[in-house]
Amino acid sequence: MKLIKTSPPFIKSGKSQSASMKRMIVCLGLALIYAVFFFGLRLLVNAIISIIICEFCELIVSGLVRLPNTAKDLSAIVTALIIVLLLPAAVPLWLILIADAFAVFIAKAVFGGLGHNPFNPSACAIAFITVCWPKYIFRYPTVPQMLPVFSADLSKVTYGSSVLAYLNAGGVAPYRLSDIFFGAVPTAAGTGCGLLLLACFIYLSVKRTIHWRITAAFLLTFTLLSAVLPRAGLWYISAFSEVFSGYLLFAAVFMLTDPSTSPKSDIGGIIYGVICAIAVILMRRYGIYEESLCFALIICNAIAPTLDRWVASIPERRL
Amino acid sequence: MPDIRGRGIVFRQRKNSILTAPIKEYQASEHLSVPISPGAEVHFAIGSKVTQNELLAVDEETGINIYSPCTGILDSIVPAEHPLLGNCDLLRLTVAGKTELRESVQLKLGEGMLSYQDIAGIIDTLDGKPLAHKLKEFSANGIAVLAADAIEDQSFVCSENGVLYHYYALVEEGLKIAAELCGIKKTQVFVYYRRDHSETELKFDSSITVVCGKYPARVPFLSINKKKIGFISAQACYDLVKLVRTGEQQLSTIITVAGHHITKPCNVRVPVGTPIGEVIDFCEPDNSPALVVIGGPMTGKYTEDLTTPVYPGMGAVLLLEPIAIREMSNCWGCGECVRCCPQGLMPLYIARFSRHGKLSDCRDFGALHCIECGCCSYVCTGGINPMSFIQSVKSQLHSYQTTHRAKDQPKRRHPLSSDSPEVTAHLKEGEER
Repeated sequence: MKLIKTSPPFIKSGKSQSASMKRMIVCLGLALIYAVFFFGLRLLVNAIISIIICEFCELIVSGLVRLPNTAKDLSAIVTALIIVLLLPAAVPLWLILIADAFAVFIAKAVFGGLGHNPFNPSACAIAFITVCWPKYIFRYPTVPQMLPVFSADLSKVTYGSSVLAYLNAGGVAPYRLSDIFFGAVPTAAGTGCGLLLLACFIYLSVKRTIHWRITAAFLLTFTLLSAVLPRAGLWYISAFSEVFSGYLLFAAVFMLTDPSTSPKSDIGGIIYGVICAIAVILMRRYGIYEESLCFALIICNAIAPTLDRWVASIPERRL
Repeated sequence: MPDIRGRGIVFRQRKNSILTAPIKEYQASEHLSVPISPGAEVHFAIGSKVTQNELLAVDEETGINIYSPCTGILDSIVPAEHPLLGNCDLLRLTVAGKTELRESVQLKLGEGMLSYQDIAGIIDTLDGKPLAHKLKEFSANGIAVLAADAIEDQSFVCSENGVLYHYYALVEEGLKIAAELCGIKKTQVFVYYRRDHSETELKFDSSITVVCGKYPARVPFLSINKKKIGFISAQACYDLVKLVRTGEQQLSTIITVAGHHITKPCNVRVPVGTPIGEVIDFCEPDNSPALVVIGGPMTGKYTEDLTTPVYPGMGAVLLLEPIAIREMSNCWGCGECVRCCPQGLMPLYIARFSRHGKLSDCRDFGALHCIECGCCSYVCTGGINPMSFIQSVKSQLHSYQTTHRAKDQPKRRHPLSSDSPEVTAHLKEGEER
């Protein structure tokens, strides 16, 4: 009989990191397929290129620091998909390359890789792109429109203003509410369909892949605040268009709940969601960009460990 | 029926078939090694003949009487390391035939005649402490309810449950005797059972309180309705009845032999001092690489030494599937450990800080509240063992406190010193558990 040495406990649940990553990828894949119906196969090509770039960057990182191969942990695929879905469909490929490289090298590898990054890599990448190339990131193609699949020539694409652009200008978006809900308005590639994103939220919450408290607290606070302080027109129309436009729902489901950058405690998570909602409201209202959710998210990422420490300092910690 | 809502984990119990099968008997092998503490006084010279049920040694320090589990010859006394007892001496006995218990040994007991001295041979299988000591402490501490504990919430382990299942009447009688002895009026029997995670359905007597929460089940049960509960094991109750009725001391103990690599898992009655290797062979292991674990799969102790003698309090000997433990750098912050921790701690932060040697941060995150249940390591999706880090932090914090206390001046109170009310409360809480 061969004996093996270790310390207790001697059994494992068998839950693995890759399983939850796979669920995230499935949900992001659904959002991608939905967007392909609006914009054609170009988006799929974008996604594949983005995944290849991210995985390649991961390989370079693991080669440089001689760590075990981190390309296998699937987190790079999640980052790549989130970046593609947050960018407009008609975006030049070099922009995707820059965003991916920034996310993997600067936002993740520099801090020590998966689990040690203080800021959400995809949020960092989008924030970086927003600051450097705002004209590309807020130029949304009209819907539906079949984009050229491989061609770099995007001169024939027609562009329209997003809901948030109208709100920012102080007016009401001239779109039907149902179009806003189903994402049939000019917006970022994968962030359109509110129904699909809410379904993803329920699925991921039931599977305990994401902390539902964060998303719920964030969405509730945001809806409440945007209804109480409408930007234009009737309060419920303003609130509805704020919630179902921009990155809001998408980020609430996929980015805010990123386990490594959000608070781990329940109470911390709720406070985090509330603070993030307030930050997004303020940034959308007083920021210079029409959608500044990524900046708000990065600020909130920074306070996440502090929130956990504060929760730990509560004397009766049976939370 | 008390149920524990909230945190913890649930796993497959894998023990009903073991539980319901009759308890097997394992006959004494050629050699037994009875563990005693180094300070114990041995009543026999090496080479002399000993009889079964005869007083072998008396341990003054702990007050345990050790009785010979077999008739035979005392070969030698060798120092050894036991996973449960630490440093100890082994009394090596060569078995030479079996004798019936002599009539003269039988206790003549009347009403209220039983004393703590009479039961000094019984060791509580819950924690390996002498039963007499525990009962004395209970009556001194104002414990209101004496409970027979068959709350075995870990998978595989079911030796206490097995005793309760097969000898319920005796356990109840033993519990009453013990309660009478220490002057406690109320008794209760606890068993852990989850219908949804068991293969077959079991029915328990209506007077048994069924605990069916998550693992770890014992934590919130130290007091119910503000009444303090003292736990003794079901096996100790059974042994107590046997002692009172027949005069037979605790010469054997019931352990569960199970695990992924045991083909015939069962509860088996083994003489104290039998090497665990023999018991494992009795239950027919397959020959694949395995982990030998003494105790439960979550909190047990690992051993490499198959000659380790069986001792009351082991609970189980398990042959488990080896698991791979990865480095702390694999933590990706999923927070599963935070969600399952029954104490509401954040194991990943404590483990991270301990890796960087930040002791005060570990204390801020409540490392001293850890009950070492192992939930965090069980659920870890990164394959890490955070509990091992927390354990080391706890021992470091405790040693820091003791050294600090010696240096500290009486007036200045350091937040970490044992004098501070908070820390004392922590320590007391830890001891109670």
